[in-house]
Amino acid sequence: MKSQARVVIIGGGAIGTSILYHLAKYGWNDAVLLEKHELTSGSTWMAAGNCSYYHPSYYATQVNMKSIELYQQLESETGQSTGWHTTGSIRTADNPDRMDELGYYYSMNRCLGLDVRWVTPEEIAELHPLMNVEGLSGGLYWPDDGDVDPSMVTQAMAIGARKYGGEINTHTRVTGIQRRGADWVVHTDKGDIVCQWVVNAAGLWAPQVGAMVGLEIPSIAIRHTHILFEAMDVVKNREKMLPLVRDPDRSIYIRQEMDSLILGMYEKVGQQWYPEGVPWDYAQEELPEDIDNIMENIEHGVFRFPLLEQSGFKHVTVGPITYTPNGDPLVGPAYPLRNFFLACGYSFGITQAGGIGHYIAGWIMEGEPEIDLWHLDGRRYGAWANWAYNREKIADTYPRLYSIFFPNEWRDAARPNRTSPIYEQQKAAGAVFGDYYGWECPNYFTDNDQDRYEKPSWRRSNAFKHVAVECRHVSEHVGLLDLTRFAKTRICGPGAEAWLNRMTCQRVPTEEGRIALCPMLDHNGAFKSDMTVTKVGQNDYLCITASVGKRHDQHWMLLNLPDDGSVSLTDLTYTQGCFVIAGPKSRELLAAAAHGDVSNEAFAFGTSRELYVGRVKCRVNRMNYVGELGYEIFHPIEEQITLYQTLAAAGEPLQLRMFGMHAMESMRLEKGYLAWKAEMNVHHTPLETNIAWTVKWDKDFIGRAALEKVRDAGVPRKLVALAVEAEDSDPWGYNPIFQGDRQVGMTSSGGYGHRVQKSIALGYVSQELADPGTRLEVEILGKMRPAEVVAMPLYDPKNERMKS
Amino acid sequence: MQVYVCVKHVPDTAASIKVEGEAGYSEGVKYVLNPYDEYAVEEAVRVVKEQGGEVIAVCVGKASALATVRSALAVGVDRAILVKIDEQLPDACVVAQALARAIEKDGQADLVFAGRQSVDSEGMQTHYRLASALGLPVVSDVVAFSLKDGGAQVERECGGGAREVIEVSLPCVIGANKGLNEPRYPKLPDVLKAKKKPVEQIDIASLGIEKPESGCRLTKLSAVPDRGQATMLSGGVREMVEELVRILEQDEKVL
Repeated sequence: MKSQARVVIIGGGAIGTSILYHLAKYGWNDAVLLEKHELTSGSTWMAAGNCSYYHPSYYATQVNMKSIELYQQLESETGQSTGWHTTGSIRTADNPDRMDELGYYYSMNRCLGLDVRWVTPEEIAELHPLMNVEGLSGGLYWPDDGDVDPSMVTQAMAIGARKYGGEINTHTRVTGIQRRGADWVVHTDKGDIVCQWVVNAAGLWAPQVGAMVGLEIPSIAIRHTHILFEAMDVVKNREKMLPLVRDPDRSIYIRQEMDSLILGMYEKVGQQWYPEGVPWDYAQEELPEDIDNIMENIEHGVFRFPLLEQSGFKHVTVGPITYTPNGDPLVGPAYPLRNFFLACGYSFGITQAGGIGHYIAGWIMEGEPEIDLWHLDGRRYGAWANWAYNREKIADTYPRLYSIFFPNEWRDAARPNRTSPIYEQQKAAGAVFGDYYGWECPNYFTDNDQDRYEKPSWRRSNAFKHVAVECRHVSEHVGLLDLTRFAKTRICGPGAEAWLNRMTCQRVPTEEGRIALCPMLDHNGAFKSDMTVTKVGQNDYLCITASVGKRHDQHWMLLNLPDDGSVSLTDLTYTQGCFVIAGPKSRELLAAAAHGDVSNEAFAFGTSRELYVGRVKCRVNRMNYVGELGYEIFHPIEEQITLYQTLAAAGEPLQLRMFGMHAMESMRLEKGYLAWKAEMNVHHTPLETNIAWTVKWDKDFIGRAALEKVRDAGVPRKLVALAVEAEDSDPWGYNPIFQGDRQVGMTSSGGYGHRVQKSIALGYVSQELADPGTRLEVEILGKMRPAEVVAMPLYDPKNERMKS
Repeated sequence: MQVYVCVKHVPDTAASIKVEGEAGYSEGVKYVLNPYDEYAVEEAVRVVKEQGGEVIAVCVGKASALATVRSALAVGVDRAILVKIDEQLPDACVVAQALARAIEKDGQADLVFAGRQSVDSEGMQTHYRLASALGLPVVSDVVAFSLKDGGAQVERECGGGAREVIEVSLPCVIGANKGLNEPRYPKLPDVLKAKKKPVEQIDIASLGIEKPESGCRLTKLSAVPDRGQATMLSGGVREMVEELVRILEQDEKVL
């Protein structure tokens, strides 16, 4: 075993082996994999091996695509078969909401150029003659899906990894990990390895490995069952392999295995296995079966595939698979560490192993991911997503792994976690909450009991009419939005200004009391983060970033802090609350509640002041995300209720009412304000957007060199707003944009603009199609809708209201 | 015919057994119906299917053995008796007596099937002791069974590939061996039916078994030592074979 390596990968399952293979293949041949037992002995051995393109996320789908591409060519590269079969796969629907969901996948997959087809129940029966299609409305068919043998594919990647110089040490257990200067020291029972990067691909044991470096990784094993039936002549006698079938409404999957079928399921009660930590000596052992617990799903299987009733259970396989709060894995840089990556929490590891190995290897080597992997990034969870949270959350998530994916669903389990001090007041005002980075935040308010729960739907929901009322109220009177969850970072010290100027492409405000939109870019010149910087004092800046990106953004800042102590970073997220008051009466409200002159002359748009609002000393920024006259009021979190009472009292004659996230989202679309990880992600630079003006070429900043190249080569795309002739379903994002038969772009987000009364999409198209008036089409849930490029912003194009 | 079949709840042979205390092991592993008992169950079910009557499974084990009893019920057994004992690896004398009492209490056996051995304790005594307790003839290692002229004709393996054919009178005890038949797999309707089939659960104390004067007592259980890691040979075929021969001769001294 090497004593020095560039990268140490902990865990020899499909994921870890793939990362080693890709690092070695791309030239980092001094990478070492440590496996405490044999390769595949954690969860890989029991995986069903299904490989399909299906994933709700546009980006995660690309990981699946990369896996399938790799699995089909590994044999020629390594001489080891992967057991790949192209079988195709079908995903069925037996209700209208499910059909809508499939419509989303259909359209999203078309953005990726995938071969995906609608199939009728009759066509499904033709593709899978053993299937009873009773009750089905239809389905989607992916002809290029298939399956692999999980052990063989892992062995093939191991052979490849060794061929390119990677080292695999089995029967070598990691006992500790320590930081030594700029390096990591990985202790094992066979000696130490000093390395620059560590990758935690330890699967079942990832939480224990994470704990060695102080991480709490929300991943717990659940006993997953699949049943192999005895050989069936009808299967044996077929010439073509049967497609994989997922009947998500019955929470089952079925695929051909040799001369028979395998039935897998996500049962109602997922049995957690050693939730406190899987014993180190567990290896490749089947767990006791509990047929009673899965009986309902077996019956579902028999309903769809009647011949299963007369086929014996040849083997019932039960093995542990890891689950995270939402069932998606935890990958990427581990906050707040340097050079420590996660690649764990996988419950569909075979589907993604090949692809994620490629992307993680690239991410480590290049510093940035090739595609935006935020949906899978471990930093989407903060400290609230601890072990106990996960234990409670996955009890709800596991049985719903096949439930319908909706854009507006906020599941109740394991909530609330983080609440604003005015949570009870919000509830009393009829708030219907969503959870954002663990925070309870009102989506909308209602006094109608039937609407206290937003019905998940791809169509306009029961929230629609309430959101309309809120938007109108904000545009006519004044509304209060609680954005306490904003990530707030104080940057100060003698080097603060110079450092911030390097971190953002924008010029950081030089005058106290000035605010600037300061996006941070990555080394490719693409968006890293959405940030607003206020100069609050000499060498003292308040940086506001998206709440959900808190760990992501602060990680980036921490890793870039200078070593000399000239810049210090303080997290104010949990000590400062934020209220937004917005609407034409907001100045009147502020004047009534605050001490001092808040006239337009004394307190201009884009400036910041310290104000006493009632007895509470606040930092007030005249800026907002909804495009009305408005203010962001930052305040000590412990005085929030006092502040709220002051505003509520002063606001009563002005008809002050609270509004929620849905109204904010609607209004920001009308204003063409960008949203992090929708318009702003690793695929887009500011030059493509309406905030290209934030790029200041007269200074240096991270990403500048790459951005110059983009500028000189010609900016390939442009962000546009489209008014869409939608019916009852608005664009949401990942909708393909067509000109005739040609796909010319994709939406980044969308929704209904209540103030302009239009269905709006934001999206990227090629430059020549970006002129207002250009007629295009947007595909929503599989249906083409006429659309027209419109000038941005749709609402108050001269920003007169904000600046009034 | 009233056919009894003795079944045992044992850890899967692939399970990783962790010794606990002096003579116990951790039970958090996958359990199965003792593989040799599967042949016994299948044969019992076939006989009754042909002759009519009833198959009754009898099991001596912990309460958790009910799962194994149910799996026997799912492949054709009609009802079962579970004699509960709070011991992981009870002595074959005790088990045989308990089986005998339970059978006698239940009815008149025309035939009794059992596996030739269990894969946990591998004592290979239970069915002999059971036959003795019931006063019946016993044939073990049976690979073929048929009813003939009011008795049974059986074929048994007697080592080295040799087989002997024996005629035995009924009732008798048959020790089933691999090859006797091809056990069936449980099907969903059978599994569902099995949940409703009667299982009589009785405590071993109620059978009034006297502790045998002689017998075996397990005093220590220890894991098989690790065989260590495999050595991978590399190079051409010739080099690898030469190295293998050298290892067998010099290192392992087996040639």
